[in-house]
Amino acid sequence: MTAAAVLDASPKLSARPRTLSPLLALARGIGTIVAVLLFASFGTFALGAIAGSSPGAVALGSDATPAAIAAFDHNVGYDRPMIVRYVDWLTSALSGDLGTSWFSGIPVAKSLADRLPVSLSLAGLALLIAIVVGGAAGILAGMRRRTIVDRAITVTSGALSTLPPFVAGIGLIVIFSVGLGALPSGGYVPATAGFGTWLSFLILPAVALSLDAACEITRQLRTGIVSAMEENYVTGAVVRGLTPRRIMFGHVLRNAAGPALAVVGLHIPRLIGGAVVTEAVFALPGMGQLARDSALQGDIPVVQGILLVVLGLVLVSNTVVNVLLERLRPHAARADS
Amino acid sequence: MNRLTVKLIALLTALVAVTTACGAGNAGSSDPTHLTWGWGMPSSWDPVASTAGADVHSLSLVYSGLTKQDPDGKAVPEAAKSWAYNDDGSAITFTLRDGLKFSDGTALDATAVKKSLERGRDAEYSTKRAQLAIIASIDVLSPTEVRLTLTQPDYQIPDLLAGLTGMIVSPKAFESDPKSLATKPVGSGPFELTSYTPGSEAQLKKYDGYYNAADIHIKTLTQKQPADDSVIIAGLQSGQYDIAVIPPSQVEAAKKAGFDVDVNKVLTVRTLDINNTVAPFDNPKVVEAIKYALDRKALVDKAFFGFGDPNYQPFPSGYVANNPALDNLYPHDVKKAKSLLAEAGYPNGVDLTLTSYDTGGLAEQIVSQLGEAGINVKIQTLPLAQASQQIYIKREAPFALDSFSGRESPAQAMEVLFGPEGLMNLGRNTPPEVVTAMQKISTTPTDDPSYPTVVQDAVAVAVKAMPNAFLFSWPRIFARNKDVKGFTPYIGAQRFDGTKIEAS
Repeated sequence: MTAAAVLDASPKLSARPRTLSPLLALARGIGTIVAVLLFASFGTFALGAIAGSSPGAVALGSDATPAAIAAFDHNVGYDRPMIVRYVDWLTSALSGDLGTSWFSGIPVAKSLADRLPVSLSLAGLALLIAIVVGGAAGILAGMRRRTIVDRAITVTSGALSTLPPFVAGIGLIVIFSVGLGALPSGGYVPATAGFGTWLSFLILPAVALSLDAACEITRQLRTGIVSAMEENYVTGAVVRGLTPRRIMFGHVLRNAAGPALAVVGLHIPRLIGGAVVTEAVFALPGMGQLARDSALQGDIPVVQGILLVVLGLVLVSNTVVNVLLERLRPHAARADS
Repeated sequence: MNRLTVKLIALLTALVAVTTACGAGNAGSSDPTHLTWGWGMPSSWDPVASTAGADVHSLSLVYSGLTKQDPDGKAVPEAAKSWAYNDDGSAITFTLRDGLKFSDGTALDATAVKKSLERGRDAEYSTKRAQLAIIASIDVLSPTEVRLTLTQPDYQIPDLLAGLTGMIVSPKAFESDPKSLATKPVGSGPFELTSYTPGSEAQLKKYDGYYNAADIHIKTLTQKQPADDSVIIAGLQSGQYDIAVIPPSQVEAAKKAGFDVDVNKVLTVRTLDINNTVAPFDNPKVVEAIKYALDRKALVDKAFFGFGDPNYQPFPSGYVANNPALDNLYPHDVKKAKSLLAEAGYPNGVDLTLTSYDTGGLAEQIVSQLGEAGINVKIQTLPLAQASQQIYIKREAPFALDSFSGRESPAQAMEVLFGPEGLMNLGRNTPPEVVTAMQKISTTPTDDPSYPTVVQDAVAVAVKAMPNAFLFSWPRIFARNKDVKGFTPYIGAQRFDGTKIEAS
């Protein structure tokens, strides 16, 4: 039985301080993070070994002889049993040392430190656009349900959600980079080069990447609002003379936002790790590209490092979303009223 | 609620407006001393650790070798101003230019050359050990004279050293921290690296200590990872690149958009690697049937938009090792392929598996062409790293669609393709006549009048005796802003000596 179910089943428990439920969700989240990290990192390790990738094979290139590869692998201790190597890696990883790329010789932690800001900037901005634009459109459509505004928003979001990011990306480049000459068509500069410049390189890929999430947020929020508006408590609130604004933001949205928030949680992994195609179209040096290249090269330490970071990010963001969902539950709010 | 929505929309509009205003200054560069080159980042900036042949283009920006390739692929002086062999070709003495320095200020003298080449030959992590194993010892005769004593006579050394294998790295850099070279190269080439973002871009500035600095007119150069094929022309149009490598599919679009397009012959050739010690390839008639069943022209036309030359040998036309007599060695002849197959004992066809890491549709076309001759092929597609393991190291894939990027020395290229230990000689069995012909290349001085004939004869002997099926030479295509002047395409590493930016 989950913590949330316990809260539902027992009226006594729901009288506890409202912070408990988010705390339980947090604890559960952290437990999941540790278990999943261990399981997934071991899985990657094992898959790398099964695929026949080894430091010598990757570092010495295709011209190397099997003898040279074996000698190289022996020198770096790769001929030890896999479980020993895994424990070794895990111990180093816990102290912050993720090893060195077999392919480029660049420390994995450095590669990740280079790539993470790019991916986080892209995913963060895409998420912001999705929440702001998708949220606004969803609320608007829900408020004006079954009007021309609602229809227009529903049809537009339905159509846009079918656009894969690379098609949207190419379209945006053609319009804004080639047509208007307003924004760069690709590449990345860090925010230290100036906020405007940083944003100018990110805005097109972020918009392309956000479409799917934005449309889904719009649809979920609209549906949630429409069904919540038909609930008795809304009628009650209207009878009590509450302003439409207070009804919407104080009550309806609270009930209707759950599914949309869950959608946000589901999209975060796609925005961080799944931006491979968007990164390719816009030549962004993000984690997606690094993951793809490293996997193709059989560069296990890098794949392992990326896995660790992406998994960490996903689990942390999911935990945050779970905590927020708990916080949104109407009875959680009622508990202290 | 409505007010909030309006506020949000207003905020977003303002954001886009600000971004657009900021971005306008970034699109396009009109600086006549800066060039942005669309080319992928190297696997490493350390030539000794580099695992990709294509790295030579990036690394040539920052390193000099004793020699370099001229546009046609001939070894010409670089850090060395001249060289001389001893009488039997078993030792070569290079004379360096005076006063050369690495970008870290240390001297590029005979001692530096010795240390640098020894690291390439001996370092455990070196990817150049096999190529440099020919060097038995290196002696410093004077600060500007260095002698390489070879394990056997070999006149190909100036060619061998004209690429990644011979690039000279500052000993100070690798003696203190060899790993740092992966991202911080220290050489004496036309440029020095000022900043590097792996997977994204490298910023370089002109290095005044380069011996030919007078002919380098570009003061700063950005090497930028090309975006996806579908938007590469958009990148050129929006000024993200002054010159970029483009795929054949984008040539028309580049021309229409007003860019100059250079289709350069390079040393890359598509091949089918075949292990003729494994059935049914151990029957030469099966291998021959495959060679006749292929319609190379159709492959070039369909997969590469007609950019490429059908080829039956590993070298492109115009290169010293290209033998024009081989130009139509195995013409497309399905009937002949079928009868060869029948003679080999497969009158009802034969079943094969083709290992491929190519996802561009070439494998499927080959399968369809071979199918017409009764050769039924299944495709096994693997990721690149796994495919090279399977094909070259474990040699468990007897029939593989591959690509050969050439080597600076024709003898070395043939060694890889046909030599007894050659990577792409999957059967590792080389008939004696091929070994003899290849040895003759190494023992003939490259300035001897008979040299071209010797190399071309060896190519003819090898391509007839060996199972490798060559498909077509693969061009390198650059789309170039019309303001980029004096650009010379190279068959090997691309160079920018003489290139200028002048508004047309």
